[in-house]
Amino acid sequence: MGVENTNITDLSVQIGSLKLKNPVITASGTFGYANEYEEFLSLKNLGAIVTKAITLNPRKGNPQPRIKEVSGGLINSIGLENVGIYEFIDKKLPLLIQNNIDFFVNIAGESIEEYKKVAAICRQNNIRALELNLSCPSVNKGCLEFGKDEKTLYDLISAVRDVFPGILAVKLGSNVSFPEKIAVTAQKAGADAISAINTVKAMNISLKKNYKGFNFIKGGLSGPCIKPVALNFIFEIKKHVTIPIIGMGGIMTFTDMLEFFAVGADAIQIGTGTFTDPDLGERLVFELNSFMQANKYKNLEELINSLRTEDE
Amino acid sequence: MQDTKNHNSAPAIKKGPFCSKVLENRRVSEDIYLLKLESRNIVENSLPGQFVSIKCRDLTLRRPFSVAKVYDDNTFDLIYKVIGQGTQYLTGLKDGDTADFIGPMGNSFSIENKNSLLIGCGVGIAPIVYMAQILEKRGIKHNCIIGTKSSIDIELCNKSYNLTEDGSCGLKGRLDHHLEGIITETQAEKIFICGPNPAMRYATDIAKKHNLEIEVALEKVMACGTGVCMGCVIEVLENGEKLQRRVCRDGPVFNGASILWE
Repeated sequence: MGVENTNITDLSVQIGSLKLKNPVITASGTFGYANEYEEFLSLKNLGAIVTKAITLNPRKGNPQPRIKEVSGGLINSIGLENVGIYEFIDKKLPLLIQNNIDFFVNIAGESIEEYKKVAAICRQNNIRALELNLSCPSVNKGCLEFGKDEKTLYDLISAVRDVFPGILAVKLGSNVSFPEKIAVTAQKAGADAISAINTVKAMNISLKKNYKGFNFIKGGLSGPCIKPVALNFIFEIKKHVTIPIIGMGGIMTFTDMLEFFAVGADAIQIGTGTFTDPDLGERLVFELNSFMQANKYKNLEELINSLRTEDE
Repeated sequence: MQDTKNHNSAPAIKKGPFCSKVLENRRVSEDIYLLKLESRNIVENSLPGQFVSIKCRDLTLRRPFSVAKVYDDNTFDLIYKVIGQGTQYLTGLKDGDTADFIGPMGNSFSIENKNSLLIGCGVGIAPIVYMAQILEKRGIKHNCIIGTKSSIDIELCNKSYNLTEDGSCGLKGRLDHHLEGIITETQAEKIFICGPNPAMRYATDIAKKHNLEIEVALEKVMACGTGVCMGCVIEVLENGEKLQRRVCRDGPVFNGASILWE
């Protein structure tokens, strides 16, 4: 039974001019191009999906090891391995269109020019929504740096805005001194929404057996261990921006999702949680629907307002 | 969930998550365990080389295990070696506990009518035992080499050469002491192997020397286990081109000759 069959509660959420049927979105790099997860859930039950980050040219990514599980999460050092925008348009885009789901194409680059080119190609191919990856910790050049400095961030978003009139979400990382300044800059530059947070810069080391030296992996930390960082980041920026916030960082349960709504998220993304429970996205939608019905919330806004009510 | 009209292909077979009662979980060798679960889906749809990923309570990532045998009563065996937190958790599962798993994942060994030599080393015996079961059922000629540190208390394949490092069961020594002799003796046409990388690499070299085809089932740390995260990629050489392949989705079985070993 699909969620929309019930028709009693309205789970929809507006992100710019895009109306998503519900607020549960699968995060970039954790859901492929959706087809990989048809074996676990019904794609049409999700609010939207975000594609793996796409760059202008194909990228081979980083050498092994790329993955290390740590307490409450994992560190990845994939390095944006992807097929490049042209192969994406040729081979992956048709799959997304065929699946008849809303999607954001996550784009990344090493220069403003690269973002601009990729965004322009997306526009030519009638892609409605982009998520700018401005905070990937597993690459050396670009990306992470763009999301840290207000001027560069402004220039980058405005440059993309010039060539892409569609929906623009900007994905920010928590590795910044003043989250609210970065968020305000993103809004001023023309972003329709803020996605936060990306993975957190981290390192894991294993001491060698004889205690002489160590092996290590550096990359982006994700999973339940970053939830407190994400909640704080969203709470900090919420007061300063009016555009929707798509919250993420360690959401594994229905309660986690409500916590993100409570601190300021209008929609959420699940990432690493899909690795633990491949059907998590669909389950969260079902649970949200049941919860709202049981508690007689007519729409998502009512539920969110109630979550943000201060206790007297 | 019945809306498939926008798809050109048939709806995908659901791969979980499934829950099963633990039917058996016992130590069969020094550090190797056998776990028996129940799933009609796995019994009917899995092939040798494919794996299931088990959720390990508080751990973020599932752990992948090759299917080791399937039975007519809809039960199947997994064989695992205790290495880290995930497998340590599994050792604590008791009869009647629940296991949450997805699968069957990945590709499988090719099943062809060729005189096959199946080699399983250590915990790599799992897909090899399953392959032997399927070849036996189909009447395809095969022999097995089962290499373990010490003797192992499970029913393995018929027609097997057992190698133990300590000589406690069958032939004493490692694969490199016996492989070429066994190839000659069995007149094998194709090799299938799962084990530690050095053993698979060695077998690939020997296969090349004897002009035999070889399929290897790789093991790699995985995050998603479904093909989306690119965490488990390896390098292969196909038609002179260096390519990256995902062990979890493009594999775990590869043409041994194509692998660029790390």
